[in-house]
Amino acid sequence: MRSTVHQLSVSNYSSILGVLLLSNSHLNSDHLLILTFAERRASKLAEMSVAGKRKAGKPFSQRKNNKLPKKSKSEPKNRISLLKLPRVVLLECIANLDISEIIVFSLLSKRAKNIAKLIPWSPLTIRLLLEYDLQVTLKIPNGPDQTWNIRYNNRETSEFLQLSKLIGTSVNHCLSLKNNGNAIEDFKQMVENIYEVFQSPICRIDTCDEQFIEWIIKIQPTEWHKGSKLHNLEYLKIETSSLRNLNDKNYANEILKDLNLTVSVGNDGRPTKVRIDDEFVNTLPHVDVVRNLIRNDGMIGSIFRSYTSHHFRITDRCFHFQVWRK
Amino acid sequence: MAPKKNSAKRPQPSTPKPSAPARIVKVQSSDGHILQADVRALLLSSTLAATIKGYDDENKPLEKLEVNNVVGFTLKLVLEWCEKHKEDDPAIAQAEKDKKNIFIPSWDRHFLTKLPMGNLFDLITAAYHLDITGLINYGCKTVANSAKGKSTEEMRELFGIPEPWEQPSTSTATWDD
Repeated sequence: MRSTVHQLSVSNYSSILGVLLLSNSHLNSDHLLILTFAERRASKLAEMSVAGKRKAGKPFSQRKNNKLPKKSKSEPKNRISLLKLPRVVLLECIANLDISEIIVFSLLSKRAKNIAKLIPWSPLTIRLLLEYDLQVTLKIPNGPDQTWNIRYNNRETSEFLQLSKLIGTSVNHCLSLKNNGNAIEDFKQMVENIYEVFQSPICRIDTCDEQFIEWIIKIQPTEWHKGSKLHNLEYLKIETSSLRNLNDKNYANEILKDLNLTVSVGNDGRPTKVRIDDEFVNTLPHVDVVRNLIRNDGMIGSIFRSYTSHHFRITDRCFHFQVWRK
Repeated sequence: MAPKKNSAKRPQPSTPKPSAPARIVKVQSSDGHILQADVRALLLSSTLAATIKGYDDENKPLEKLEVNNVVGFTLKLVLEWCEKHKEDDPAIAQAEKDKKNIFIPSWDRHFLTKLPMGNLFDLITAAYHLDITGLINYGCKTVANSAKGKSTEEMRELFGIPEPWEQPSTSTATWDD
């Protein structure tokens, strides 16, 4: 099924949407997925990608050039490994690590990651910001007001910078990693580790590059209409910005052609607002016609589009997928 | 500078017990070192406590305890820790067992953080074999604390985890790969 979807490469917009709706999934606790796809930002990321390819090599945990200068040519002095501790106490050591330490630990080796996966961590919400800098933001839903921001940046900074800020009653932990030329691959590996270790959904993505969408689908594919996966998805929005005059009607037809849709005119009970992350309420644009995908359990997935025009002939095109029940 | 006394944050025994005459026994390590320890200190180890109880129940004289899986250097550290904590209420360690935020008293923090990481691992392993809950709690927390603010390479060095290409191809890893 996925290969069929990839043939829908009429545009980034259409292929992303098609893959999201049709491919398989093992996710079961999503509430919201928002994709922001802005072509005008693509060039910056492309630069980053090209820079990465120039220096690309082994991923983060396997590259010698990521070592600190003083230690780059020496073997670890301490050859008595934490991993040789008896399993019970090893797990207890790891269970005492903080979130950012667990993430760093999981990057050390496959075995370290597998050990970290054995701990029943509190689930997190994962948000990805994939623009000029690559950033992942983690929060514990309904937990202490703490946020972890881990960012690969393109600016000349130290190799590794970690700090925590107390803002009012909330704590913001920042981990900044220098882009050593392979930031995209390193970032992907880190996010995959977070996803695996904490077994938590990626609930929001802002990106400007289709490669990230395909990667996300690979690690967290989606399949709403078959019912068993992405069961709790409430709202999906894909946003594109373009100077070009896209023929949206053709795109929409291409995207939706394999789905068993019914057309609904007027509002037949569909909510006009969605709550996002319990933080704010988003009022949905008014539309006269929606196409409905009805799941076996009676949930309705309503598909509709909206447009916002800006100066210089830039138009934001939004694709909405709203899940509700009559 | 002498180490500070334990902080008041940690629950202390409510009333000092009247000091009974110490019952000293010999403890032999796996490499043949013979040390001496107060039985009250040894009772912090569930493993040794069971052995001691067996002797007492049969009214056999306890002259020497053999600890076959701990070397002398590590056993000396274990006994030093136990001697310091022999007055502790065992319920305190049990209560802290599943707590995420364990407070490490200053004496223990000083005692554990001065150790090289390899010795700390040996001490934790010995505490595990001898089933000394309090020492396991503090040891594991100390290991975790040592990772704070460390980069990937620093943590790799600290925990002795080799790069993937440094690992022998004939790995004997058993349970987690």
